[in-house]
Amino acid sequence: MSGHVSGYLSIPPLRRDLLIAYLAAAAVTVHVLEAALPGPGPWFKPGLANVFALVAFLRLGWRGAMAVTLMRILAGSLALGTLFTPGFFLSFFGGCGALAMLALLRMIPSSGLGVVGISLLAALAHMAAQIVAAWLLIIGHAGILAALPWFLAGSWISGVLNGLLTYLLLEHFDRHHALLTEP
Amino acid sequence: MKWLELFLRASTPTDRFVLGISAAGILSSGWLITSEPGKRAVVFRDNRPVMTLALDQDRKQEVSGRLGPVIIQVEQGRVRLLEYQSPRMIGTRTGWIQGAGRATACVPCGVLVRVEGKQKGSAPSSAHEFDAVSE
Repeated sequence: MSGHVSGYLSIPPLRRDLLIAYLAAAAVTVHVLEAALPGPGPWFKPGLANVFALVAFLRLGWRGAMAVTLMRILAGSLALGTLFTPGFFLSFFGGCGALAMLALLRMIPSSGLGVVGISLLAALAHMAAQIVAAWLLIIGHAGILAALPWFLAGSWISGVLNGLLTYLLLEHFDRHHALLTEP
Repeated sequence: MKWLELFLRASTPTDRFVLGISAAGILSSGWLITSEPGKRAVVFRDNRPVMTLALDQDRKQEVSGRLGPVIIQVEQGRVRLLEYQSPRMIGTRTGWIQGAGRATACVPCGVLVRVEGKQKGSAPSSAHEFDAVSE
């Protein structure tokens, strides 16, 4: 099927937990590395760590995506020393926005959306939630919403890019021997 | 071509439809916000207007942000956040803003700068709004 959307893994709980841990570890690593590198522009952040949450969503379900996302935000903030700073809360609410979108998409399984569409909608929800959180919790002025189209344009690009990377990663993931053999 | 092949392989027709609709929505909302050059920049700290800067007078002004001083520069009818303490410096990297309705912010500082004036499809900023900012 195009987009690798179908196919939750049927694996024992322990192996499932291990997979979540591996995906979360990879997400935290990419999260920290990306924070250390200069970004390509003010409106654009690749958000490559979200690829691992998407893999978890598509193969382990919404709970897997939630576990990977929350562990990435918490452990990434601890590693960067930004826990409970405004940046942490923006990241947290962005993650919640993306997870809410994934929960919504899970309720309409016959939507016809593939990896790229799911990634795009999650990225847009992530950014919209961040801007709304910045407005309501920090800045307090609705003027910040004027910047939303520029940020959403950046998210549009990163959503498509991450969708393509997720597709490539799933091609390797689905062939991995750890998923093909019994423990 | 490889990226195009990958895109076609990885995306469904519904994906492409959603991509097109969302791109059109983002571009049209960006076009609506882009407007005529503004007349003044209003600086907010934690949703409280702290100063109004006329955009026809070049100057640098400092305001107190949550993380320390924030310098705002006005030059040739434009305004930008010039200097402050913040991890990603998104406000500074945004650069100059000029059109009415545009805004730039240092979110961790709690500082937002909004350009006011006439926007597309709307009346000029109301006198009440201007008075409130001037207080």
